[in-house]
Amino acid sequence: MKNKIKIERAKANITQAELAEKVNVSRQTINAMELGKYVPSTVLALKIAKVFGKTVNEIFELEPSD
Amino acid sequence: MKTSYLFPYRFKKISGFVFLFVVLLFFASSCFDISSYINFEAPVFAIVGDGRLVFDPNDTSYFKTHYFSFIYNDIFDEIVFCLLIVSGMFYVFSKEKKEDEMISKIRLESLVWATYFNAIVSLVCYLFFYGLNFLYFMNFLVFSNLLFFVIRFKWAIYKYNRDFDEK
Repeated sequence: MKNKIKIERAKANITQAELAEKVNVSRQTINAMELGKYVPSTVLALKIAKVFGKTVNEIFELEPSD
Repeated sequence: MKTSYLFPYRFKKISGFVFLFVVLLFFASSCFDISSYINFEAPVFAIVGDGRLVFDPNDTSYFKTHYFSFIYNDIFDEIVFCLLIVSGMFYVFSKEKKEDEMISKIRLESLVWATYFNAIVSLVCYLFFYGLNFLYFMNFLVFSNLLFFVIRFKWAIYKYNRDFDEK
């Protein structure tokens, strides 16, 4: 699964640590998601989308391998 | 994420110290006969057990089996294994400082890995250890799953912090 967390974060001008605090996970987990090493749960994906004021589909998208 | 089966983080450190200490004590006691230096004999309640009866002064047989009675026993191993299992369970199942869903995933993966690894070690032990040595190894198998889990989980958390801790 691909995501645009890093781009959205740059647009919103918030750090990994700030985003991590907002969605109540560790900074490492945010980094892992940005690197595509971790697929978040539905709840976490919804929370992240909410922080950026977007829908989940705008931030996360399926890859052909999924 | 709410996880109901984990202990609070504050148990982590103390249980970790106790677990490490008792694991070392276990291996030390496998190499040296500690009971010959300190007498740990005490009256215990046995559902089934060999030993002298507590309330029968005429009983001098060490090898007669008694059921549901008080007997004398060397309780060194009881102390070690109670501490091992309790501290091990608390250490393994207490939360990390920041317990999020990725940590939960790492925890579950480590548990699966440890179970597989423990099964392989058990098989090797059953096939290639015989006699009294097998019994020593059986003792190890009582807590090996916890030990393998701790090693695998700690290693995975170390990697998690190393690979994803930047900026």
